[in-house]
Amino acid sequence: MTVYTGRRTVEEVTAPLQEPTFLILSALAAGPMHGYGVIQEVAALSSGRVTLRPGTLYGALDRLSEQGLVAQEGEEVVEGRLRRYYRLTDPGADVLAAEVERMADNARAASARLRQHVRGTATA
Amino acid sequence: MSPLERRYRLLLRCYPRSYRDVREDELLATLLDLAPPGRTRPTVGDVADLVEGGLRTRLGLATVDGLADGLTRAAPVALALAGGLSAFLWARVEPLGPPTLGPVAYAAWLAACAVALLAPARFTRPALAGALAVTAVLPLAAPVTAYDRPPLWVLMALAVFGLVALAGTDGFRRNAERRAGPALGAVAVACGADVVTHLWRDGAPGHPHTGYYQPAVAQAGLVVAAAVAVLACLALADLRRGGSARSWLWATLLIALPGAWLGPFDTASWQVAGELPRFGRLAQVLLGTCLVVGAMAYLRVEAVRAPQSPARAAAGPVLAGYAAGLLAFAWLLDAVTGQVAATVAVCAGAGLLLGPGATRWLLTRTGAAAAGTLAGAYAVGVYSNDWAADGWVQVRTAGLAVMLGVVPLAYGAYTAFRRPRRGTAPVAGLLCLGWLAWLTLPGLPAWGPVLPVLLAVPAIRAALPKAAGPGRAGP
Repeated sequence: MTVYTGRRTVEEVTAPLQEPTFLILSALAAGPMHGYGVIQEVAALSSGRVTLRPGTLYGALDRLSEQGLVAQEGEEVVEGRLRRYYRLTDPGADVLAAEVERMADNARAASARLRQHVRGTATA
Repeated sequence: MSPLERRYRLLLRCYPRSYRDVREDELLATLLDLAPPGRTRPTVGDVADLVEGGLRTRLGLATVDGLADGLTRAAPVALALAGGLSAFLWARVEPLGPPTLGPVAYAAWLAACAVALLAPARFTRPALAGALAVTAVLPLAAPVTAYDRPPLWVLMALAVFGLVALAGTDGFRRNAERRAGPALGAVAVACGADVVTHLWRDGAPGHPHTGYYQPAVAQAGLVVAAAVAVLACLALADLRRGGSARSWLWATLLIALPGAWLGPFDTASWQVAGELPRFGRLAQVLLGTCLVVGAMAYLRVEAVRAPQSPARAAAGPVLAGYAAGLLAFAWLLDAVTGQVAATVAVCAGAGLLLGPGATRWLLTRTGAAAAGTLAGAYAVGVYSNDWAADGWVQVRTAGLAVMLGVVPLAYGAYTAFRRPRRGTAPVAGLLCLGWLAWLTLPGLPAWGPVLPVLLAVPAIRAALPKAAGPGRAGP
């Protein structure tokens, strides 16, 4: 899909999204968050399966910012540590919604087939 | 500052300064937030993560339009090629000569394909890193064993395919299609190379398959060229649909870089003037690298519209320095041939026409280029004279040093045409291109198979009608 931002046309965002990208966008959908918060949220969303490391996270945030899917939203210093917040942009929300739709379609189709399979084996 | 903070700051120096100016405090805060109380040293995982993050930032993976996606697209292709070529070399080429250490690396790449197919996703990157390490260590280990090593540029190609695979693969879960892709691709590559070998041998009895070197490597190169052509077709198809094709173009170039080294064809028919070297492996590697890197630079600049890089002003001093280095080398060798003299004149002339760039760096750059040329020419001389430090074939060695000029000439041509300045720059560009053509075009029949594919892409793109898809503004 091609995403249009106010700044310029951004290259194609590959669908399906890679799992870490999907989880980062999902984490930010709840509201602006700083890096440490995103790492915690991604771990929670994936039930501890995906643990992002800071280098990986900030690489992804740079890429997503470049694509216009996330944007910076203020910063604060807490106990001497700089916390910069990121938010999901409207194009980011569109991309996430499209991905969720695609996954939901796949899941619906798969569960329908699975029900047929269970019935089929039960009546066989 | 705590010891942990100091160590993290040291590690963060892997990132470029401009990036650290903006991000260092933020990254450091996140690292410290994540560290449990009492920790005084970064973990091995932290080190690997920050070194990789720093490298990716320095290479522009986050900011160069399409590069990160291109790497993701190229990674399974690169692994398939590394695995397939390993199987081909092990089964078909290795048995033909004295045994080498090659099978150790080949086994590692085949194991990496198997891990990508069968093991949990988190093991794929360690397997790739292991295979890469084995390939890199092989040339160093060979002298202390009873076995030789496979040719360096075969190992170089395998290593770069492996690097692309490693950089473009993450440790996250993949579906069955993405798991099976590299392994199935490797089978296709090995079978394809085998078919090419058989057709080639039957069709041209004058070229028996004798072991490593020509024509086996050029035959393997044909399969890589096919992969490059497929990626290029996907890029062109995307352009036709009105897309930017940038990620497909990056994938094409990433696979083409090591692919372009696989050659040249051993043509018995092309002419050799006197003792001068033919279009050999050195020319193939240099020309292939310059072509691919030039295309990458074009794609990168076009994407980000970077401010004029100061490095570009270095082309003039680099050409002049190369001319001085070449002249000194040939003089020391007592082989100042007509070809050497003409190359020195062309490079010095083009260097002067391109201008000195920043005067402050003029002498440093010229001196560094001259010293680099001397060192490079000496290394090439040692390599091409059976690792001997003396008793060289003079004219041939000087001819190889002339071939090193492909690099500064390509750089000069790129600079002149990429940023046309008023006045003499276009003349310098034409001079560089003309001499590049003089050095490499007589060997055209010998060019390895990936080079013609690369040259065909812009030609086909120009010939294609404009995209009929939805209009697309910019970039």
